[in-house]
Amino acid sequence: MLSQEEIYRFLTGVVGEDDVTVNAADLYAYSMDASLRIALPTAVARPESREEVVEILKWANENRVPIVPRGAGTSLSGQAIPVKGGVVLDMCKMDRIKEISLEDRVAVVEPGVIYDELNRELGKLGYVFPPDPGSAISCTVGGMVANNASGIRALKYGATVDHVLGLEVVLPGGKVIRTGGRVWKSSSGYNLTKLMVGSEGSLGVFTEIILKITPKPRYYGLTVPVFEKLEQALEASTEIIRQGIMPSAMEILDDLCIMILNNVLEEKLPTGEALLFIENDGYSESPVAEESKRVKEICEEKGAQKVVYTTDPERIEELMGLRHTLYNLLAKIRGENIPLNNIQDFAVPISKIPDVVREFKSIAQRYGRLIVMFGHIGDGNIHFGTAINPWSEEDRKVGVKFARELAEAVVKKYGGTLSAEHGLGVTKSSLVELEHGDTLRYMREIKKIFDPNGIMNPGVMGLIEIPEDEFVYMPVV
Amino acid sequence: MEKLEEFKTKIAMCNLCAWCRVTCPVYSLTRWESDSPRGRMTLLRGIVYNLLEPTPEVVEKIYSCTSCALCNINCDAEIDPLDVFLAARKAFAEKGIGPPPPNRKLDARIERYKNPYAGTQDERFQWLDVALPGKADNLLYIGCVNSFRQPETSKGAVSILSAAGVDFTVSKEEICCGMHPYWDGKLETAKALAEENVAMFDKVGASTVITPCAGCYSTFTKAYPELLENFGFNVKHISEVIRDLVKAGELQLKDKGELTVTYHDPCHMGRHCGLYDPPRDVIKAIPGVELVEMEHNRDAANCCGGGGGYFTFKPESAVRIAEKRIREAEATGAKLLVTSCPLCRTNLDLAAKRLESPLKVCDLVDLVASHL
Repeated sequence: MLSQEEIYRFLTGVVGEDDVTVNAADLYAYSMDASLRIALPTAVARPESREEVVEILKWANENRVPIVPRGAGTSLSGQAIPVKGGVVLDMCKMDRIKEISLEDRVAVVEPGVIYDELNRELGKLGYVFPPDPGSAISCTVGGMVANNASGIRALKYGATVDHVLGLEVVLPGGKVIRTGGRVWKSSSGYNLTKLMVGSEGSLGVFTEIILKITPKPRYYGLTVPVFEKLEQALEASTEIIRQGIMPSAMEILDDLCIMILNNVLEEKLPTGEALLFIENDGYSESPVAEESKRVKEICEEKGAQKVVYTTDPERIEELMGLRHTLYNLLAKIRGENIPLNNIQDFAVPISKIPDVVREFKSIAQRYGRLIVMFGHIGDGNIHFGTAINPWSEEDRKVGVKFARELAEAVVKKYGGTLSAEHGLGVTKSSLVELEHGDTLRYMREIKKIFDPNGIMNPGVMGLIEIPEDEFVYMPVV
Repeated sequence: MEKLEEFKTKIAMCNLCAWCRVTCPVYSLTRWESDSPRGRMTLLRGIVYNLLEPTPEVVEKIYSCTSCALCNINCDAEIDPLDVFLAARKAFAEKGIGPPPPNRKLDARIERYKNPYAGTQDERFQWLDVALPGKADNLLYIGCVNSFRQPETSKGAVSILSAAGVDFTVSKEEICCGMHPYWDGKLETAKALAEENVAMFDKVGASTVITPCAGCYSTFTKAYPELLENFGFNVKHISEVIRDLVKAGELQLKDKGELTVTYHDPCHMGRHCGLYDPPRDVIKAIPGVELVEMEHNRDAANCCGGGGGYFTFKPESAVRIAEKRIREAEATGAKLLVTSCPLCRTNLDLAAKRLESPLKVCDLVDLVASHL
């Protein structure tokens, strides 16, 4: 690979001195993302236009320089970790909202736009881009597209992929392609837009994104029941949807999460195996109130011990805030340990949730670990939280074994997936084959078509082999 | 690095979620990760786990912070990143690797002259043109910036308290409160200044210290109890005193015509000390004056860029941050931007002039004094 000096010289020629850094402090700050894994880039550049990205990718491809596109670095699976060094492309300066068309119901944006900022602008017009990931405050739209991010409202509104109509992508070598467009329907050939969404920067760099926009709901209702048994929670959630009510969010928290919440709540929740946050939304007040009331009744019919119910926006914000803040509350428990990211984002067929939770808690007990579970009962996406001490070889070894056992059960026994919304990144790379088996070969072949020299975000998605212990558990510099 | 070691768990607990990054004034200006609270936490994580050397370029980043505490407000994990940065600065200063040269130079000047302007005590009190008693129950502590750079504000503070018949005095032995060295992590320097000031408070026989400076106020209320074993003085910001005087009918404010103003919350008075209402109550009590709020106010108020030694370290960047605040203030339609901190006022005034803004910047004291 080229020397750092050669890389710096080239990059300054493209983006200018003010937008390139090889300063040791800067590089270290870009060595991590929210996965808490670490690897140093050789340089960081901040392109401001498609043309600059084209020049960089042309040069990088010729010189085999790894390129790692980075949005806000909020990825939980390590999609912005430059495991092979190279250039991190911080896309923060490509942050224009280029167009909002209410007639076409699309927004055209650059990748560095912050999700919440986009929604602030859309909100002024009565619209929303709804996937709502947990990192909504800080994440970028480009990062969401690269990751196919979603969040609590995916049940009703889908994931990012359901809202991307078209992309402009710069490929290694500098070729610019456009996929899709600003049409809401297309059955025209392979859907390369959907291929690009969730590709984790492994195929190219997005420079323009065309999104569907949705009228913003004006009314909300929230029902928060606690159930003694997980099965009751599942029965209630199934019945709600069977009755034709599609909540905008249907979240589940386990007994440990209830305990954690009770630590910060003045009005304590009763204990039980499951607590649900069921949010209904809509454009007229009375249907939302009626649906929420019916949700409450169903929960009571299914044996909920206590049901909090409100349509007061402030109370809803307060309660939903608790759900949003849970990940950060968990940080207080893990202390100096780091989250075991590769068990964090499973999805299983909805009916299997109680079995999976019970089995995993029992496996955790066998390993002498505490795990918490929270997630999206409406779509089968369950987050398991536990942490390991990255400085203990023994703990790392246990972590490898424990994660593999859970991952195997998810994909082989329950027919689930390793990742529902966080993506694979570098932290799940070594487990990808478990889920995809022979089809991983096709993923690798697709990668080769777009990126024959393997310069794009090497290490993510199991597209190259990474030792199970490297970058996955161990902080390395 | 013991002072930093104590914060190891807090540093490790940071999820790098970047919620703090969104509102950080320094990151918003430079947009380099290392200039964000999250970036600083990453660097400190490297240092406490011996993965990163605290080289000058790393140390510099920990001082690229205005101490605005917006990161604390936005940290859902309640890590309070600013507390960690202050601990790191203390550790760096103790080890002799911080603060950066411009700040070190200013701290040395403060140590020598007892003020940041290398002025004499006579120069400090040039503005004082009335005779005040040697002893009083209330001590009006003016602060360095007002004393040397805002003589009208200093006079105004005296006029207001005099008009209300408050038993107060000003001590010509007043010296720098120590805020600048304290935020640079230079605790010994700050402590020496604190001890000298407290001896002066004793000498005056005051039970209450009143100051028109947000920085001095936060230093007295937050830093002095840490630096000194028994700090037993009652400290009030002048806005609290004026509010109480007006409420008790002891201070009459006159109608001088209609005026629309907006208020900038100094970080060290608002987020650091929770004083949001007193200055607003005072403004609202002035006949003819209407208060309009900026989009970001109270605990969400944007920083002017001047605090935490950043104005010393990166003066140009500090003014550029202030320019954003001026634009936000202009959007309210107010004619006057009022604040309660002489450093915010200086920085905002520089920015307003550079932008050729129609907006005038003044201290709350000036506004009140002009309505006596």
